[in-house]
Parts: sequence; structure tokens; C-alpha cells
Amino acid sequence: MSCEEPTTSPTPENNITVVSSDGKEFLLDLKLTEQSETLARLISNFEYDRTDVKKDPVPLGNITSAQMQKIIEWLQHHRYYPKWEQNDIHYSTSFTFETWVEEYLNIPNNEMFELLNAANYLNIPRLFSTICRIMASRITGKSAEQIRTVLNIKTDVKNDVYTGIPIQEDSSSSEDGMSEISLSPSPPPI
Amino acid sequence: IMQLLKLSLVVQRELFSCMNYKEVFHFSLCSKQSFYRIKSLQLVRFSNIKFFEFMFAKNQINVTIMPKNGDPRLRFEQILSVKPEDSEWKKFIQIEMSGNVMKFRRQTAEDKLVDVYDCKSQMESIQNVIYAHICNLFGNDMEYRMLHDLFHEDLSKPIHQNIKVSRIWTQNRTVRELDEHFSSLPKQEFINICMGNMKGRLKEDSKIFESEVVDFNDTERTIVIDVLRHFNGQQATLFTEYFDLSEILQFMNGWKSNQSYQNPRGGALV
Repeated sequence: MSCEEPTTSPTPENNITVVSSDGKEFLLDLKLTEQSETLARLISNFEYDRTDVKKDPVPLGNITSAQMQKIIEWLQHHRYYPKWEQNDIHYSTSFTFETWVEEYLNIPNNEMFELLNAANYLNIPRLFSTICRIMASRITGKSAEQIRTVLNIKTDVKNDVYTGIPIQEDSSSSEDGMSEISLSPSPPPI
Repeated sequence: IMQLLKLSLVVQRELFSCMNYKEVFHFSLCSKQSFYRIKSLQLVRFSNIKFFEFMFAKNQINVTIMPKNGDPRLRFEQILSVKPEDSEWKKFIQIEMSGNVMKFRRQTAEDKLVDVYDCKSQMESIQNVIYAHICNLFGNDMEYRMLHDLFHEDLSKPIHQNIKVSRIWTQNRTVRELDEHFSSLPKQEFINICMGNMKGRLKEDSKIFESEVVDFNDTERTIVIDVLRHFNGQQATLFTEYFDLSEILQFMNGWKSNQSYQNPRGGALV
């Protein structure tokens, strides 16, 4: 979905300042904050939408400046999008994403997780759900070993199923071993 | 490096809700922590499962989930397909099930895991570990069904205590082996057997007779007479040929007079 973005010039009256955990200040258009339920509620509670109310900077202790920059990019892109309607259950990974979203979220997993946490903290449902769907689609069709690699999950296995003997981390499941994972139909026997 | 399992539970639950059953299941294989996380955060979803079906054959192990009726968000889904192979491979991957390590070679184009094992006796461990992992993850209250082929001598006896529905294909074996197969299972709600070229008779105390519903395809009339004489369940459907009419009359008379066969409520002989 894409929407035309009429040009508007921000004025001090319709802005608030948020401060990231590393002390950097960001000027946010009130229109953008409507996408964040956390910020929208805060603005409503403190009546920051009134022009005669002094707007103190809002500290966002859980969000770094890099994450805030990324989030503002998202908010600006979706400024004129209709309100996100969340289906409560998906149980599917057959999602499609617009090109802009795929490029926007073409970031390493750890950054994605941090952004997901930030989206959850600021309660931006469209961003939150989109990241979850992207993450889920990244493990579609993958085996457990591949999922471990993709999501950086450490194994904590105990016993060999064939012998019942407790085992140590096996060298055959190391980086070299992972190269054996293939979707090709018939590998040659060794 | 931030890990998925260190995200808040709310975030993880939303993430899992974007996965289908197969992905959730394979995620549970990643580690003990991922197993318990799936188990604790997906209880509501798991309550929408109608039954599990295990297919244990010599060359294939499949596990399939059937959703409850009336839930359009769910659909019939195969969560695991394993192809056992007794060839040796220098490199393999390890996957945990029920606290045990299984060695898998790779995925095939059909998205099957190839299980690497050294000798045929290990097949029993493989089946049991898969079964145990699924029962641990989804709970013992689920309905578990089993499709089993008894064509091969090296197939192990099932020891799965939650199985209530069984479908068996068997050929060129003895009926005693069929009896032994069910002797290790609890009382079955439904048994479907397709058999051919079998020898022997069922024991009088065979557990097959205790099943509530049976559906047998026994064209050579190997066990049909035993079932008519001793079946104590509620419904029997028997497909057979060359039937002795006197046996049917004896069964019908006993049923009508309530002298025997008190439990059966329905029967069909084709």
C-alpha cells in the first residue's frame, strides 16, 4: 500500500521533542506520533497537543538515537497510511511486503531485534507486526540447525539419541558442517 | 548480540504467531530453552489442534497436524518428515529432541530431514525420540494417531502410550505379530487394518477385540472370523471375500438374542 504524502512544514506548535537514551534530541511532528500508541497517550495525558502547554522533552530511555532515527523514518513513510488493523492470529508465514519495507528492514538480526523491542516499547503496531512477519519469513522452510544459525540460538543438547551417552558440543556441527545443509535434491555420498 | 529468546515474552508470542506449525515445531528443536518457550507461549494455539498423526514406515517418518473443525485459520499441516538412512556421512547436523541429539545429514528437495543412523536397531530410538518430543511439546491430552506399516521385520514395536487410533498396513507377516503390535498399545478407539497374505490366528484375548471401532480389509479372511467371534467393541466394518454364511448367521443370532456381542451397535460386512 502506498499513499501520497502532501508536503507540510512542521511548526513548533505541532512538534514535541523526544530524547533518546544516549541524550540526542529529536523533533517529532505530532501527526507522526499518532502511529505510536505510547507517545499518543503521553501527549494526550500531558495535553501536549494544546499550543498553550509547555512541552517538556520526552525521555525515551529504552531507545538509542540510531533506533529513533530508524523509527522516525518509518513514521514518516507511513504518515498518511490508514490506521493499522491487527489480525489477532496469523499462524502463517505467507506474507508479502512492499519494496520500501523490505529495503527498510534489510538489516542484521540484532538490529532487527532492537528495533522490534523499540516498536514494542513505543507501541507502533504496524512496525511491530511487520518486523515479526519479516522475522518469521526469514526462518520459513529452514531446519532447526539453520534456524539456530539465522537467529543465533545456542544449542543446549545433552544426550546422544543413539547411545544415550551425554555429549559435548560436536565438532561436526561446526561452521564446516553447516555448509552441508543444502536444498539440492541429491548430494553425492561421501 | 541480541537473541530472540531474550526479547520480552509479548514480543516473542507475537513473533511465534506469525509462524505456521511447522516453523514453530522446528524452532522448538533448536534448544531446550526454545522448546520450553514454544510450549509456554503457544498453549492457546495448541488447543486448536484436533489430532496428530504419526506415520512410521521403514523409509519415512511423518508427523502431521489436523486442526479442529471450524477453524479456517488452521489447515492440515505436516510438521516433520524424516527419511532414515543408514549410510555414513562425514558431516552432519545435530538436532535436539527430548534432550537427545539426532544426527541429520541435510534436507532434501522435498524438505525432508535425512536421519543418519548406524544400524537398524537405532530406528526404534529415532521413532521414540520423535514421539516423545512431540508429546512433551504438545501435551499428553492431545489425540495421537498412528499409521504404521508392518511390512518389514526390522520395524520396532510401538511403545507409545498416547496412541488411540491406529492404521496398519501389513503383508507377508504373521497375525501374531499384529497381536504383539497392539499388545504394547493402550486400548484403541479405532483400528484400521489393511492386510494381505497373512498367516495365523488372533489370540482370544487380543487387544484388537477391545477396540471400540474396527475397520478391517482382510480379503483372505484371515482374522475376520476371529473378530466376529470375539470382538467386544461397538462397531465393526469388515471387507472380505469367500465368507462362510454360517459364521454370519451365528454372529447375527447371537447379537439379536443379546446372548453375546452385547457391545456392538453396528456392523458391516462387505
